[in-house]
Amino acid sequence: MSDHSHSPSYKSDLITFGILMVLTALTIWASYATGGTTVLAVSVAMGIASIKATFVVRNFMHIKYDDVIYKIFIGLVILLFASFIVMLAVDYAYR
Amino acid sequence: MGHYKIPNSGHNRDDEAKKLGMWLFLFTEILLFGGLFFVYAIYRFKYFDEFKIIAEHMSITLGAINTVVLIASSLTVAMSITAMKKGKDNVAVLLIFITILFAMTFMVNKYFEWSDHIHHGLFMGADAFNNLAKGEGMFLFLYYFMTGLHGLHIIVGAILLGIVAYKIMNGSVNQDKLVFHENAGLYWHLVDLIWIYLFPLFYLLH
Repeated sequence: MSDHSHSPSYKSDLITFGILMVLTALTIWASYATGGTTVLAVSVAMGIASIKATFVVRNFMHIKYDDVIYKIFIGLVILLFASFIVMLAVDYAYR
Repeated sequence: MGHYKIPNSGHNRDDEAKKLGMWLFLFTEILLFGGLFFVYAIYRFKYFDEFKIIAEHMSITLGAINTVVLIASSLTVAMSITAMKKGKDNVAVLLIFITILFAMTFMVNKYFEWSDHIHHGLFMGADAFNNLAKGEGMFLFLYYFMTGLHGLHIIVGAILLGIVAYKIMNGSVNQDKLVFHENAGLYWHLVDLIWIYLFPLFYLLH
């Protein structure tokens, strides 16, 4: 089931942790640099959060070692989520 | 009636199905929190300025400490699974105990944070809360509800990891049979994942 040549190692776990720490520092710095609540600030904060989430799902939740079916499922859930957000925004804008 | 040999007969274990089942459960969790994120988005638009004012009460330092604690706990869970795959059971158990310690640290931090807010009357029903503008009250309501629900997941996850440690010690989870450990790990990473979004939404955006 598991391909040992691509198995997770302590080293790859630690590298992922390091990247997540850097991104956390970056998002805190960005919240000051962008002034907190502007559209830019929200976009940057959500963008960095999504990059962090991708690293967690890929490296910690081992999606990069998993079968393609998991990637398809996750893609569909993200699509479902995104479509709700779009519908919400459209509804709010034209109300 | 002829004999029909059931595929996969001889052993009734299906790790792949267990993992897929866990992921399907995680999707329902994402949609549970998703609904709350939608509510947050609407009220953030509706009460833009009021959200900004009330968010000043949030301590970025405490939020950042909890973020670091949770990401570190995700690391120790991931490393405990790596240790199991290498057959190092004792290391895995130790790493799980460290994770549970991180979970406790997170909750203690949250306790101090919430008590500070409640002490300042920033809680449903208190006079100071009733005098707040509607949007400010909504922010606090969402803050307590979403971080509270998240905290509940931390407690459940920590209990689950405790069970994993027990199962490793009695041998029912081992190098060749660790899907329970991996699924508990997936749950823990999801808890981390949700916090990754809660942190900027409640602490950083002001």
